[in-house]
Amino acid sequence: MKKGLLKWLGLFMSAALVLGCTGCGSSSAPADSGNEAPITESEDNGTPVEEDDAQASGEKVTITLWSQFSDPNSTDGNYVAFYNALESIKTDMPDVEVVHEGTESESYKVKLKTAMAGNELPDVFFNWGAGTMKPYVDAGLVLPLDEYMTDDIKGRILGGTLDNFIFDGNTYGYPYSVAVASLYVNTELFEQNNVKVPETYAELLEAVDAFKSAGITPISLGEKDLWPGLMIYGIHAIRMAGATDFNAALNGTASFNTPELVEAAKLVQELAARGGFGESAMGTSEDDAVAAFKQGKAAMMFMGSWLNGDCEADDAAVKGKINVIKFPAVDGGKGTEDEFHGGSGETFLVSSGTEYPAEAAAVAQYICEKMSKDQYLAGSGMPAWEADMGNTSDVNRLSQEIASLTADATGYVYWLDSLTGGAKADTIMDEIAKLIDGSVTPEDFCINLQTLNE
Amino acid sequence: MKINVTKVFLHILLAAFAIVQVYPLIFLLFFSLKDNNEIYSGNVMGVPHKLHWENYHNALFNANVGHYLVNSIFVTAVVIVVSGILACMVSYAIARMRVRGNNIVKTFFSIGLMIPLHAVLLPVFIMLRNLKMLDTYQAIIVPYIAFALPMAIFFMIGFFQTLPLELEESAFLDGCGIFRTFFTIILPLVKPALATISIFTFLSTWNEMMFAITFINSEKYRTLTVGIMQMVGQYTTDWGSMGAGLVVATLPTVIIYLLFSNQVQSGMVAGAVKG
Amino acid sequence: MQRILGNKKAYLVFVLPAFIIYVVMAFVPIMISGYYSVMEWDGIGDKVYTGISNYLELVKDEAFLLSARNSLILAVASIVGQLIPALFFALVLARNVKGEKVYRTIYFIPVLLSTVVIGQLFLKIYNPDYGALNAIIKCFGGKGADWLGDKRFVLAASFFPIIWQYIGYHMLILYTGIKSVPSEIYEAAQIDGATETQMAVHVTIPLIKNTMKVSLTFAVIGSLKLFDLIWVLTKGGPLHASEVPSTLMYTSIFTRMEYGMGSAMAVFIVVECLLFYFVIEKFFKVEAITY
Repeated sequence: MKKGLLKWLGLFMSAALVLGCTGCGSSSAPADSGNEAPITESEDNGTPVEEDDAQASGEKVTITLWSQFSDPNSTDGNYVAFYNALESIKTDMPDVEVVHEGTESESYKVKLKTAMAGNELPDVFFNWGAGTMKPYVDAGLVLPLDEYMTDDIKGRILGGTLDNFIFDGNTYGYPYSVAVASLYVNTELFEQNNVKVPETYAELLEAVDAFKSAGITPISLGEKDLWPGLMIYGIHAIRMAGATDFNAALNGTASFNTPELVEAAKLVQELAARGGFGESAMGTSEDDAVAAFKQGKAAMMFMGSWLNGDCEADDAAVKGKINVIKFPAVDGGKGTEDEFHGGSGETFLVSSGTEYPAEAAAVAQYICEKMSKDQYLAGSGMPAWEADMGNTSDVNRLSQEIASLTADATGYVYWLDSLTGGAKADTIMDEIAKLIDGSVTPEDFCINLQTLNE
Repeated sequence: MKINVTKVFLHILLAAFAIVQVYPLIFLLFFSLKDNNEIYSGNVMGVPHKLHWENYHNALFNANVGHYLVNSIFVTAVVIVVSGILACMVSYAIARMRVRGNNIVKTFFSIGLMIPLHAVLLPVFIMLRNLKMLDTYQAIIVPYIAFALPMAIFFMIGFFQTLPLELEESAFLDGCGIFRTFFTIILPLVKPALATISIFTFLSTWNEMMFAITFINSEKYRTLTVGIMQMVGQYTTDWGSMGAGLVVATLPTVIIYLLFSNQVQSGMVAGAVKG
Repeated sequence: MQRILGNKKAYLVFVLPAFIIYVVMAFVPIMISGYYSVMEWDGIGDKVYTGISNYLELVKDEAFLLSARNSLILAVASIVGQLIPALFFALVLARNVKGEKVYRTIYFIPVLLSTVVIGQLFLKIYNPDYGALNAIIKCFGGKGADWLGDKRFVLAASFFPIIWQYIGYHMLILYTGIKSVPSEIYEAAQIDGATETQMAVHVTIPLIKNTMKVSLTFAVIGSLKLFDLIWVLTKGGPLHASEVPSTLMYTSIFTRMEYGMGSAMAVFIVVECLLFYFVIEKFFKVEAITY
């Protein structure tokens, strides 16, 4: 009796298992971009339109597009620029219909990775470059764009901005911004407390001590989210080892265990121990850190150019009082002030499974080029494409300042998490948190990072 | 006299706990009327200094909230009804029917309680893809039912076990079949338990985000909770507007709770049927 | 009677619809996770069969063992901190206290609010700069602390809201159980002159053993696979001090792209839950009570 029943159920279960495993490994199936296609009940006139007819008669090609730009009402420069581009593409590329799906950034990563593993990528999707992108390239999931990148297009792209999208000589993405981290200083607090805006690292430490004794957080840091600490360590490593050597260590061609990088780790740890990040950086989120800086409760913040908008927002207590400066050089370091943390690394990729590679590539290019200009005008990063900016007097003051700071840049190191990607990035973030917390020595820190290269 | 002291003390305790429990809702209402400056400063817990009604405007009119709300109601209603009926059927069979292997079936369903959802995100995605169900209402409805069942079954079994056997006996003697007996005599008796489990199913379905984000691509199927969460930005978030959105998303849960929890109480009468 | 209730075909009709949905969308997926768990896989490239090496690595991994320990602490704390108050309030409210309906409604409010709201509330309470907790401590001349950023306090600070939020949930489960006990039983006891406390201990609690088992099982399993609120509050930090198996699993799969390892953690969670499930079933082995 029991046997009969369980046999039945077991039989069904194995059938279901087979269902679950079909197509597990096959990477041949082109992404079912037809998901949006079943428009059999046409919305406009109610008469069913045959899909084939629609395409044969040269009707619109539908391109699906995923991004982490989820909120059309956001005032973030990148969001504003993206939605501008999404709007203008309707008139500028009339034969393409772009169907956009925006997902908030944490969930976006989950959704994208699942879709990737399940072979259901959209035609075009937002992604980070370098190490984050490499596994996708290796697995053949993204389309090289060289074929579509005419000399004319190439000529408009600013030098160096493609670096993070090139693998084995093929280019997989167009740039849309150059985001750079700089030291944001609250000039009002500096004046009130008679502190000199630092030009050398020693002066930076003096400023830290002065603010600390005045009961003001010297440098606002949201280490709870881990990635802000990466930027602090990143800039110290750049100053000590120089961009070239640090890049080499990050991509595994040189060692992390060098005297310069040990010294950089030491500086970060000392800065933290000195109270440079206040008393509670480990439990402070980036949201809190930005808010504290915005309200004038912290004197400095080392952050990417997306902070510009916040500093100049109408509701910011510090509006008009913030200045951006180069992070000071360190005595004995190989790096100079003109080496920067940041760069161009966000892009839109085209899925290799797309039905319409040419159109998808054109959409990716259009959005990136359009965003490049608009995100600069909206006060975010610097442009990655040549463009006539028109009247820039309304552009965020800080963005213009950053543009002039970086005019003579001699080297860049991209954000460490995007650069390394996956498990490597996660381990580096962990180690830096330990460094800031004081639970790993600078020497061990470098040894631990070096194990990632071996 | 002594009894009175205990009673007074009891009422003070009940009232004090009530204040603790109601505060989060008040916090949310205040939160939804503040701007980021106030939220990230000393006055995050108290009454807003200035009422930012525009937060509600941002939450209600900028996003497609009405449409998302309809989706959420539809999806949740289907999940509650289907999972409720199916769970009752299974629990009744397990609790009452004399088939060997009953315990295995119970354990088998209970495993569903233990599955970490993040781990099965990809496998469920693959199942849906192979069934050609991605990006439809079914893409979330069916998995929601699947994961609501174990909890509902585990919960309901105990209630079926407590019903007196004589109920069925007399029904069978009257020539009632097992299905009719189940639907007309047994089911009404477990109404309180069914109401309780509906509340739980409602809450987990209404607030679910990961499945809804991953299995749905088109805005036309998007649910309310997902829609609200899209206000979280890459680097900055307008928390006040988000709070307003959360108020809108929470209101239906309060209403549903009030409706269903009255059923829990009124079920008492039905429980006395035995007489 | 026997014939009808032993009818196999009827049994199938009752069980099969739920069985199909459950197998396809829940059971087979976790089996597939089991299959991933013996692979080394980054989620996109080729899978490499590595046998039980993921599991071997797991039991040697200090961070994972710590997370497992944390979840066990939470399970015990939940039993004490959720079920006892829940049982107390359920017993009191079910006895027709004045304002029963109002209390019943209010006590459930924290369960109704999504994790985001409860998370924000406690992030604000614990905030080292402007949080309410530190403000109160400073009022009494204390110094305050970085509750969620300090390894010494983070477990207690993050577990407190997790346990508190679901008191109302268990109260409703137990309340439902008590309400299904026919009132005649109470009336009989009352005639015998039993006090409220005596009735609770000798009449009600023995009769709702089954419901208490449900509550206990939900509390333990819920603790062992907890993810949401801890993720909102601490993301497992600082320095992994508040990590639980689910947060490590999430990081493995979606950040580190170690799908095999993450799936092994998932299997571990299921097996751990199953173990406790059997223990509870055994412990509460009660013959069916009919009223």
